[in-house]
Amino acid sequence: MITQTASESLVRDLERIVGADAVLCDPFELLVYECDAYTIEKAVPQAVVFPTETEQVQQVVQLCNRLGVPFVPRGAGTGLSGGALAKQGGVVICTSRMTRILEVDIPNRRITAQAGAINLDLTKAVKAQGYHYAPDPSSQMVSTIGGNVAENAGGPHTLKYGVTVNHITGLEVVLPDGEVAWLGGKCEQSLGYDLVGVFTGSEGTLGILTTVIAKLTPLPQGWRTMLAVYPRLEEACQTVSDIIAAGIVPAAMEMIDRTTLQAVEAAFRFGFPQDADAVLVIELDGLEAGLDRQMQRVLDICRANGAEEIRLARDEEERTRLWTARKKAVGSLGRLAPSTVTQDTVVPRSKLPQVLRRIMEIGQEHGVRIANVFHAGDGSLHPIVLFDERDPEEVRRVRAANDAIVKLCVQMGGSITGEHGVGVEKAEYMRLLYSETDLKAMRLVHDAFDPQDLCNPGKIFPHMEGAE
Amino acid sequence: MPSIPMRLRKQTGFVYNADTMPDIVSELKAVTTAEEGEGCTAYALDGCVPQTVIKPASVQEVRDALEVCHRLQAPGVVWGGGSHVGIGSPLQQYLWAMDMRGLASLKDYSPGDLVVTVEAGMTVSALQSLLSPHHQWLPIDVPLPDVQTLGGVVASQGAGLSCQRYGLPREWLLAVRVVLASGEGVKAGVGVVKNVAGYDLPRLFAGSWGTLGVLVELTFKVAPLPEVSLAVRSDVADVARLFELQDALNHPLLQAEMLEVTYGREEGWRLYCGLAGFEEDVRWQFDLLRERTHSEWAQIEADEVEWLRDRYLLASAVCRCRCVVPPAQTADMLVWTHQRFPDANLQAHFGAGIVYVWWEETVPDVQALRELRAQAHALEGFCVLEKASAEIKREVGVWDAVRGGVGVLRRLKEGFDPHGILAPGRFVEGL
Repeated sequence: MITQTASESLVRDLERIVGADAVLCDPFELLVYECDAYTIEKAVPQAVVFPTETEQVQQVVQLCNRLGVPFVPRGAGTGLSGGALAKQGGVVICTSRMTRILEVDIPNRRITAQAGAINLDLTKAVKAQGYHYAPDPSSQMVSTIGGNVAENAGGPHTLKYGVTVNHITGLEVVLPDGEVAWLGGKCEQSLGYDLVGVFTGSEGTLGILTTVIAKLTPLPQGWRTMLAVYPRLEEACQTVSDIIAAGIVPAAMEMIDRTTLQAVEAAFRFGFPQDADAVLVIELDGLEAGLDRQMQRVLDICRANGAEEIRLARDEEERTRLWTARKKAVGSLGRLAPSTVTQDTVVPRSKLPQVLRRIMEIGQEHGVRIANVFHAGDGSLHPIVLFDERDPEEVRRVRAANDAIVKLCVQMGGSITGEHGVGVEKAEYMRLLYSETDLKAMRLVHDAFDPQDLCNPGKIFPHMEGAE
Repeated sequence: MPSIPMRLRKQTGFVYNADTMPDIVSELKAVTTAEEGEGCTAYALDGCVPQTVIKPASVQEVRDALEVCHRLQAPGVVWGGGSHVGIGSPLQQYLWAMDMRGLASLKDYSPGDLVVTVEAGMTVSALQSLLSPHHQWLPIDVPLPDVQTLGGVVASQGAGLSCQRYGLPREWLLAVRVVLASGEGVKAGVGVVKNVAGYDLPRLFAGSWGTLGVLVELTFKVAPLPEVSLAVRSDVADVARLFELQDALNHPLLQAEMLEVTYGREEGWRLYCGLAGFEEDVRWQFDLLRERTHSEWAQIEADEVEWLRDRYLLASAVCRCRCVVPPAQTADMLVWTHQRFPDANLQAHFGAGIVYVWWEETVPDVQALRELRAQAHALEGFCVLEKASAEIKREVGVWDAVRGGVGVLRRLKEGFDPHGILAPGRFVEGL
């Protein structure tokens, strides 16, 4: 526990490094940083710093090392698993002032940006030249590239374009001992162990990311967007499998279930059939030449699987409207309940029908309503439990239902998290996936980077027997 | 079990002492197939022949064998198909080779999920044969697929003809099962296409050249086979034209699967291009290719593509280097190398910045090889001396210097292989 005097001394030292206007230590101001978008658990840091340069990050880390104070990286604070929570106090290093795009290198199809640059700003910087930064988490208008790397962010288009790690070739990091290291660079291959791959998705526990080199992907020349309405969920799921089996990899395949549809219909009056059990939003993209034939094949598959209505977007305006059903779906659920909690799990695509039916049963067993809006193409589920947080008994049932859903997905060969990360939220679930030996191997990696356990401690790993 | 003197634990390098330690071969024979004699010569590396060749038939045998080696602090090397195992610094001590080709079965395949799990000793061809009836493939078209095992390809981060489009094997790797040096079995990753539960250990083991653990099982995501493929070839009049071609080919809508440049004294410079996808896309892209390059293109058949794929590995090279530079510097690297070494053969993954340079008759001197490496550095890349005599390897150094995080690399090696039994000293920075 840091004493009052030591805390004041820490703040003075931090101010010397980054300037007085880049340090927060007022208890009221610090409340903003007591959690990220995972609000169940909270902890107030001793201070928050806003560096603008790598050297400042390095000096802050060196200072924390000397004092034995934990330090926690934070981007935009949109994380959904508590990754930016200062669980053991200490200094939060916020990259929100490290927003510069340092280089656009079109010949090499690379972009170099500081860790605090906003995801969407990368695409804005290169769109005119025919490129984009492909990973598109729903938070992309506010989340930082550094945060995306830390969480290995996905998004609706990962089925075709992959997740963050598939698009990163180089990272500048401040290691937990204060060394500034370049991992990788602009080359396709790297030398030595793949530390870029290990660092990506490490949830800020292996060092502070300061600069990112990312790949640029050509913008698709064209797109075809369609929305298919199904009387039965199984038929929508089968459509997804049949499209893949036909050799077509759409840019996105997003599904909305009956409960969510009711909320969407109430909010936007799309005119979906009353008995619709599921809606599938499918988007194809790529070179214009082959898109019409691909679309025709997809339409045939949708019809063969019993789609009772198919809507095609003829222009950008209609495309936006079709996507509205998907993008506003979660918000619409506020009409059905005062509180919602979104789960994040993954299952093999072929197990979707079974898992979705079982999730509905879990809801019934625990007396809670569950809606589903998810990335069907890659089996990435986001069951949303509807409840009233003012009712403690209902909150208990919600927790039990969530617990059952996570366990179900693991039993089905899936994962406890596909996009949101482990953080503090799912640390104890790691034992569902991994044995003690598996976790020890992960711990070896952690200790190779951060033997003193000062960098974002208390994340990812479940409580170990004998640990403090 | 005989106890190991503590003083030996503290040593590095020559830790196994036959005078004081139990006989490794007899201990291994108690748990797995361990051959001795002439058969071991086929597993020689840099002139060193191992005492025994371990041929495990199960994961349990891998575990038991490594437990013995770990206990005796006996170093050795894990083998796949043997096409890349020669790449590495000369060994200080080489007591055993572990041939993984006995573990080659299919564990699980779900075509609807585009996910397959196999044992690591399966060859690349064997896997493609399992996938192709379902119109799927693993987009790793590395040389010698009948020889290379999937474990070997993953461990060596092998780049194939279409790596510029599909990336390296790690992009397709979802999960692994690994036996650590201690003999403990570890699972890492999950067989679904999105998973962020914990550190990405599959990526750590991919490209670790068998120095952190033994890959025994691999789970890949796979892809639909393209509807049509087209491979074409064009002669390149002179070396200066490479710069023009690089600019012409770097167009966002030209999404070639393969862009390969070759040079040989007899055939001169050639550029190969592979297009794949839906038929209309391929036709449209071929028109774009012709329009942008103003070149004459001739279609080539599958056997020429296979020859191209295997070319640099099948060549009777006395010395071979792999230079890796940022993609847009590939032409620079090729041109400089050709001007400095007019007799050298060249092959480049033109869109990925990977250039192979080899000599079939005369080995360049040490200073010349250092110049080649310096040029790769000047272009923000690196150079690996893949094939040479042990003497030249020692003088020049096989691996280039790692840019950052060397301390982390060392601690990873010490953590995963504390007794240094998995090819110690063979990888970067003497790991």
